[in-house]
Amino acid sequence: MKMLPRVLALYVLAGVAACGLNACDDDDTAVAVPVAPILKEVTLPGEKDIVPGGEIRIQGLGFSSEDNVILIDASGKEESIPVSEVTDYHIKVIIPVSAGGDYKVAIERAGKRTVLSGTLRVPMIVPLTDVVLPAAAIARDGKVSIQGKGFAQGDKAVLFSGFYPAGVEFEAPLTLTPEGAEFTLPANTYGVNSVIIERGDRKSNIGTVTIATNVGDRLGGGVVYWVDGNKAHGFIVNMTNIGSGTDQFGPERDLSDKVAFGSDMGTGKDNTDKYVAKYESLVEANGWPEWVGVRVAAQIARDNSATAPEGVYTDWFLPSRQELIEVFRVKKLLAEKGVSIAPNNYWTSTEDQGWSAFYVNFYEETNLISEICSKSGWKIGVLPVRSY
Amino acid sequence: MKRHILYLLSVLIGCAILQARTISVTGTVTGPDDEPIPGVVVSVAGKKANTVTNVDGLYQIKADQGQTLEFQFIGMARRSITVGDRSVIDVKLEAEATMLDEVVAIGYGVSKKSDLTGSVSSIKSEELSNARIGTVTSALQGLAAGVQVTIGSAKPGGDASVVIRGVGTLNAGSTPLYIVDGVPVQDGLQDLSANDIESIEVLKDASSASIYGSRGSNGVVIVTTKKGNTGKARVTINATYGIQKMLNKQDLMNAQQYYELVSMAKPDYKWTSAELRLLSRGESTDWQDAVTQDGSFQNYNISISGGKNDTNHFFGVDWYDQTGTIRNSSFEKLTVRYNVDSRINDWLSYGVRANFIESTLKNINEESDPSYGTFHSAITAQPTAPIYNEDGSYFDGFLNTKANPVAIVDLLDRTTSKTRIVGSAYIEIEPVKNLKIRSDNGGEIVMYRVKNYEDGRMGQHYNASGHANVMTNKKGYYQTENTVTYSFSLTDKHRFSVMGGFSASKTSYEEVTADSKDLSPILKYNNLGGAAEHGPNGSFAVSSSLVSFYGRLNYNFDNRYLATVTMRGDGSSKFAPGHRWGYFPSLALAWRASEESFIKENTDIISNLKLRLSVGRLGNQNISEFAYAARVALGGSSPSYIFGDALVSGSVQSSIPNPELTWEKANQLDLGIDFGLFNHRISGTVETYYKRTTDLLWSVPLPLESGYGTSLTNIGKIDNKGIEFTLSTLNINTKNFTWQTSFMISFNDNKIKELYDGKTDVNKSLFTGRPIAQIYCLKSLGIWQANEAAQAARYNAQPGDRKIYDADNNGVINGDDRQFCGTYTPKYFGSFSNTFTYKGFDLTAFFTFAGGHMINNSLRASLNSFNVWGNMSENYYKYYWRQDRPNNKYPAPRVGSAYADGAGTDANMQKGDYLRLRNLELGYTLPDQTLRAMRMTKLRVFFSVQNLFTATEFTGFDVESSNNTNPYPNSRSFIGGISVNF
Repeated sequence: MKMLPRVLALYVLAGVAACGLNACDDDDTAVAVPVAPILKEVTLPGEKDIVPGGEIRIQGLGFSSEDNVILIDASGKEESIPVSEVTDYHIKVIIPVSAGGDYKVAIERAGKRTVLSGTLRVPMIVPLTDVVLPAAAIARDGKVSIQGKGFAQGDKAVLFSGFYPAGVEFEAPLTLTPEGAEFTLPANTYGVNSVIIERGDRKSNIGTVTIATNVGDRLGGGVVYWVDGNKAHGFIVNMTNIGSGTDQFGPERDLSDKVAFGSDMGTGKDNTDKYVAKYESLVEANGWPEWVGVRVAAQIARDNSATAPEGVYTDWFLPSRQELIEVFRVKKLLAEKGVSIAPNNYWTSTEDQGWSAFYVNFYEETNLISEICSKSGWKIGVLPVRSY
Repeated sequence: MKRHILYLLSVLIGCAILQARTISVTGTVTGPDDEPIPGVVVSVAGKKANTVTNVDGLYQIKADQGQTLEFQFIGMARRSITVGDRSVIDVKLEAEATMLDEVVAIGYGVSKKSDLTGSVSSIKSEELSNARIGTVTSALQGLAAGVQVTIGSAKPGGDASVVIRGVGTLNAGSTPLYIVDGVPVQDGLQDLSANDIESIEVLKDASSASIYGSRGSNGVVIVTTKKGNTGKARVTINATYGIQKMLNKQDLMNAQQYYELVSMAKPDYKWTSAELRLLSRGESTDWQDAVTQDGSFQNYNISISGGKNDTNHFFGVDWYDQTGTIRNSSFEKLTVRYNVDSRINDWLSYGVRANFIESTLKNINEESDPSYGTFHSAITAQPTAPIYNEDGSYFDGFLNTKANPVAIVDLLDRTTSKTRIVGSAYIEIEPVKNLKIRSDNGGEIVMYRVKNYEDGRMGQHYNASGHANVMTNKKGYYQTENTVTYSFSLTDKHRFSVMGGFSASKTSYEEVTADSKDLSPILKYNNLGGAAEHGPNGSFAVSSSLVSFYGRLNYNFDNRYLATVTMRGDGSSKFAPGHRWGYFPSLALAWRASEESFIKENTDIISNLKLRLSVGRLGNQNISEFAYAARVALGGSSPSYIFGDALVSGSVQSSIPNPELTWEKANQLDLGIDFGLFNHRISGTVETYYKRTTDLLWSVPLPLESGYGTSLTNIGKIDNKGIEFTLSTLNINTKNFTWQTSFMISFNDNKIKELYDGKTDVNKSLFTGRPIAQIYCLKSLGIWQANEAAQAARYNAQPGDRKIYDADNNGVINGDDRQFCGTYTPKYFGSFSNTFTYKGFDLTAFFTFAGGHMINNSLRASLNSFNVWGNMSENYYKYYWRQDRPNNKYPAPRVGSAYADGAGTDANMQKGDYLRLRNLELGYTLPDQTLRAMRMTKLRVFFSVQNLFTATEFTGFDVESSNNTNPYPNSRSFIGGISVNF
């Protein structure tokens, strides 16, 4: 048994040797030192893709679920915003309702921060949600009730449309309701209007409302003589015929020069514009002495203007054949509303052949006569109309 | 006068005989440490009667006065003591530096070492302990001069390659013939248990190996396993346990360095989010660490041996279990051996050798393209890549092998199971004295089952829905060996031994493979039928046979002049009719000068001096079956065609016939001197050889218009010349302290002397007058410097690019500029060891070395140049060429820079010279008196460190590894063990 210490000594020696030799091979374990988040191929969303209070997606590589996203405004004020989703290809965050304007975006992770290149432009809009405007047409002096959330005291509605004179907008203060808000339609509004809610510098376009119109309404620089089934769109005739009463349509030409083909409702504006352009180009190209300085019916109609309370309307045109026939049909009512149309034949903007165009006979009381005649040989009246 | 003296002597001897009486002699046999030695064979010279000492070293034997008692014990010098009138004779045996009377195995017989005429290296089992981890094949390293053992793979179960006296073939394999207990075995010695081995003999020259004829040209390794000895049963228990630490981990860039370099050199590099997150955390993935671990090793062995009434037996069980340093790689092996020998009567004996081995290897990924392998993936995976995604799945954004290294080690299931049964039974009759007729019949059955499952989660490189295949094969080898041996003496001085024999063997092989895709990740290869996609599947079978006649004549004149004549005739089915028989003769002569009186009587310095000379012819038939015939391939990759409305498998003639095909022939001349000085305290061997191999089996390229790529033809010659030197010394030998040293070194010069039509084969780097493993490549001259911009532009290069030697100075770098850049084969190799003993302690330091060769460190191609598909070395990051830090080592990180990775040049070649302390072992053996109290005969504990250090310029994972692209790292092993004998 006295050998036991020797055996033990041998193994202790062996163990020490093993540990010593082992230690020689041990690697130094590197300590991880975090750095600012490394992000690649980052793309911030554009202004049109951002709604305050909504979610945006920042595309890029290297985002982490540990990331804290911070918005930094122009004054340097920072606000941490919630992260809703992180993938290998993007990070989604919620933009605060109160956000608006230009921001820098910082990604913070493990106490280190990376500021993304580029600017996040949050639009200055009124944050409204669940907005519903009335679908039905509203009487011209009626109230518009808006369903929705986010309306605030002091908000106002602004109505506008392309058929109003340039720059004309109608303002109406909002009254808050349990469902949202309401406002009374301003005077002289008609047709389909866009509605913007304004709050200070912020604006939000919430859609359109339709203001009902009826034949015989005095508005838009004339009198309404035709409306569609929804009473949303219609045509307005000038209060009187214009020109000399002996105006020509234009030169007789080959059929190939025909450009004003439309004869239905809604084609008069296009006919007018095309024929004027054609006429002017022909005169310039050919230098016909007999037409130099001559203003033809379409030009006369287009140059018309009419003053209304909201402004001066200048969007008149020579009606198409059907558009003028509709005037003829209600000419008695129009006369009652103050429209003065002298007895005469009146040009339509609808061409027939190269040499002819359609007219409507306003000599007749009720008998509708609309035939063709020589564009240059006939010298008759001009009655402009406009549409909305 | 002379007649009177003879008469007087006759009278004296006669009187002595008349006066002799039989007495019972007893005594104790002790060793150099004065401790009793059990198991010493005590015999009366010239008599059969013998006994062995018991556990106390005591013996008792009857002998006549005047007779000589002989005491023999392994490792001790034999002593002879004449019996006088003493009845108690205590004997002290001394350690023997050289055991000339040791019996060694030769082909179909045994011989005393002193009687050897050929070149035979003998290795005892205890010498194998210098490699406790690995196979027996690898344990041979450094134990025999001229035997080059290369540890090809350090993976668990990985075997070594053995080349004896240089490679003498181009196409027919250079593996020696392995014979275990008379049976040729497949795959070398990898399945043997070292504890079962009694001795290993390596037959190196033509004289010793020619008895194996057509299979002996690469040398022969003969293994003799243990058998029981008559006497008390002996139980041996060995238990070994160790851990392994991976060596030579490569210093690679960390993630931050990689990011910095790649961002600078390749701004459009596509980073993944996972990489960027890892970088932001300041982390880095160390893929080498991620796929490796500390390995472990355990080996338990128990053997029971003994003998009684002319029957001896040996029973051994060995369990080997190794867990690799790469995760999920392991090897376990169970070996069971039972050897029995029985003498039925004076003229009849028989014996059985039976060995059963079952092993399981869990392998790493070793695809045919090593760049897809497990460790290559780990080395080159970008450090910026995380192991796992945030959801716990494996990251799969790799640039290199399109596979996650950790997923590979976790999910790849590549298991090779092997069952091997080797056995033989002999019966020997001795109808008249010294005439032995022996029939030894045996064989080997080896069955492999290779099961493979690749999980789709391993990465893009793999089938997303899984891929499995199974390969099973069975190799059978059966032989009958029948010999007649007769030994006789014409006078006291003329001794003869004649052996003649006949053998026949048959080898059969069959294989089945099945392959499926899109299958269950749970059932894997266990239910291929459930897969959605099948094939390619295949099977084949082949067989060959060999019939041989052989004979050997040994002549010994007065123990001074020795001669051996050997002849073998082999008929092999691998060759065409008419060319199947080959004859392999040899002649060996030896002169034991030390037995001459002019030496014996004039000096005590020379205790042994033997000069040997041998010449002979050997053969090599290691080619595939039916290689001589025009073979027809059906199906597989052969073109199919439409017949009627059906697609029919096509058949094509796939090879051109060569009815003249025959053996490679190796003619060898060997000269050797064995010497022993100062009573064998210094002993050794100096040997030189010259081997010319002719009729090389070589696939000669054919013109494409022939319709065939190559034709296997006998062409060309290869020379191997070498010198071997072995030295053993007993430096100090005192009662308590001994110091033994051994040293061996071998030099080999290999040259191709002739190829077909005197041509070279540039594509295979084969040149007349050059070694087989010649390196032929462009020479790298370093890096173009800033002041060489104009010269660099001539080669479309710029400062920072690699500069290549334009040998023909034509302004173009191409294959014509290649130079000879060394050889892959070591010019010299060897070992030396020192063993010290002090009382019960023993300390062994065993070194191996090799040199004179180059290694293509192919990893440097990717690690030491900028690449866009994986990691690089830290050194590259620190020292790549820049205007402000010019150097001549590492090219600038420029995409498209020609030869930047050094491939095809000598830039990645490194000297393969090394010196390795392969084993440092400290042991302690308890003294006998303590053991007797514990009823043991031996108890030894030891602690061993393997691969403690390696001195080399090579910077890869292992200087001995054969695969530097997808290496299995070598390891340093710390092993403890205990050995107990009862």
